[in-house]
Amino acid sequence: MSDRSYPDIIAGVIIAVFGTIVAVYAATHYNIGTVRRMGPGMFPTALGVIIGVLGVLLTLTAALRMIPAERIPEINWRAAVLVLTSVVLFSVLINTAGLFPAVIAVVATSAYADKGATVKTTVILSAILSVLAFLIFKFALGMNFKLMEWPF
Amino acid sequence: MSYLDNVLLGLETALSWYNLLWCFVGVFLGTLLGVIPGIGVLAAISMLFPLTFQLEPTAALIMLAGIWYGTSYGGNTASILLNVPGSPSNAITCLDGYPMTKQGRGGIALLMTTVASFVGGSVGIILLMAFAGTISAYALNFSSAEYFSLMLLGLVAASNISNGSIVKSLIMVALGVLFGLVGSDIYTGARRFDFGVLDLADGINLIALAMGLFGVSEVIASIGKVNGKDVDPKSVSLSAMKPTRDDMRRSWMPMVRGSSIGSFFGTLPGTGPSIAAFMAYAIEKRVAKQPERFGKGAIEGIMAPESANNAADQTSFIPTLALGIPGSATMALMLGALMIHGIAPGPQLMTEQPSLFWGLVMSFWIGNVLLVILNVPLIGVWVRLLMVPYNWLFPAVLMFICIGTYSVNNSAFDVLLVMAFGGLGYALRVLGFPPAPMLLGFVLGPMMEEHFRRAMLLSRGDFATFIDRPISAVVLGFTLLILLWGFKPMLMRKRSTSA
Repeated sequence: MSDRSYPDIIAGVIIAVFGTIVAVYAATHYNIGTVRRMGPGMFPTALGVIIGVLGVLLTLTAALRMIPAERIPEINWRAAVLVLTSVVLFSVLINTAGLFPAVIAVVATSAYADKGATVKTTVILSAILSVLAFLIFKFALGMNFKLMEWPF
Repeated sequence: MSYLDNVLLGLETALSWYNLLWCFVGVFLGTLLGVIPGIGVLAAISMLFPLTFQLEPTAALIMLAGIWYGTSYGGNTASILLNVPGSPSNAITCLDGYPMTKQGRGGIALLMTTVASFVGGSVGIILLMAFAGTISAYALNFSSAEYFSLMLLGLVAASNISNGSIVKSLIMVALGVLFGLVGSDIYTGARRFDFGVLDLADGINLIALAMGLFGVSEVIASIGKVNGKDVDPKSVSLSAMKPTRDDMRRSWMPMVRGSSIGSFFGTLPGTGPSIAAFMAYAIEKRVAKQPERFGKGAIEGIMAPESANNAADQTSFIPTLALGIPGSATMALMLGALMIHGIAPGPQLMTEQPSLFWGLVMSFWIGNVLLVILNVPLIGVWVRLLMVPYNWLFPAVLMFICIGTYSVNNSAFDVLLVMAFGGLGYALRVLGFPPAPMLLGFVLGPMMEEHFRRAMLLSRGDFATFIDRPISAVVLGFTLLILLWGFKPMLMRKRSTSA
């Protein structure tokens, strides 16, 4: 039972604002219709209201300390940034440069998310996984990938 | 068709070499991914999902189901040998499994939990065979009002059971429903929340969402935490696996109790194998003559939860297959798989596609037998897999996630979605929001909207239709009770702090 859970309070406010935006956006952009014959806007509008109310509820419960504050685990920034970047690189490279560059990019970038990564192990791992990806997806499953292409 | 005909039809389907092969592939890969810590069943299924696109629907489902219950078999390996659960439903097995390893009885623990898993799974399959037909025959009379109420019950129950705050779980459900609404409106065709992005016109890809929420975010969370260092391969040689007579004697009743508890919790919406395993352990400790042995390597403490989680794995198919309403996030993913393969889940499934339904159920038997055959001699192989350092494994996992998602629609945009949901999933995890209810909301949301609108159309805009129909009213009553029960701790604490 520590202090008030400030992360919960902040998260609740963000969610409440988000719900309000959803409700307003849906109500103004989509046709609401009638209860009997609902338009595409009614369900999302109601949902936005529900999300907003739940956000307010989260903020209130956290602010009034009705829920014991949980300890927030430490954020592994290094892992988060490198892993997410590696996925983006794959997305960019798969259609422009092909399978091998995309696999090497995702493996080599993400490997450094662990502090113990070295250039040698990364090169070996990239090579093994490129071959594995080729064998499984291209050779065995016959999927349609460009293997390698110069985008320039 | 008589019952026996159905069973024979199912066996015929399940024993065709094609289905048999994919059942084997499913349970093998399921065990493999179950052994690796940090990959839960949801990540396992979503990672391997794209491999099933080339298969016929029956084989695809058999394989996916094999992955699902296979992870339960494999998940206990890391629990017992490393004190790290392979998947959440095996977490409780650490309590007595790891002490057994420290006493040099790890091999026995692995063998006996394989037996427990088989017994639990078998009990679950028998119940599935016995009740799915009755329930789906009954459900043929359901109208949209009942379906809406049942789905609401599933969502609320799922939010309530997962540990942590019910408000956070409900928020995740609601956000999931919102993500489910992206794309074309089924009634009018109007585009919703696509913001002019052409790739979003058909909605958010289920696989991309699941891979991001459960694959990428789990990988980020596990990096630097999992370490497969000190496993002694000798402790799991075949000769070290022979249980003593005392072990056998102590194991019977926990398996019986565990299987019953697991079967019950499997069918309840929102519960599933993790809760079942936890309850089985708690009850076992309560009925034990020497409860002080628990936590120090009591064999009862691994037998009950392992039979419970496997029984729950099987019985959770009852609402999913008989009603088309998934009770847990994993079943929601299975339901999504059904729909992607062009199969409409629901009470008609058993009558319209008997070979698919009974083939799937019969394949559960075959898969469970395969798992026993696979696990006893291969335990040594799984153990060696645990010794592969995690920093070699996770880049491979990410590669499979990327290629797998891409290959679903040949869409680089879907891979970007994986990144987005991976980041969102990790942020929400850090803030203590459970990711599973979001997936359940995502799958059930569009179906709920459809049934809600149809029910209102049929009732000419009268909301009373949901309480006029008795089944719907009872289900809504339950939903309300569960909701109140979930909010109770908050209300109670409020009173005590204001007093």
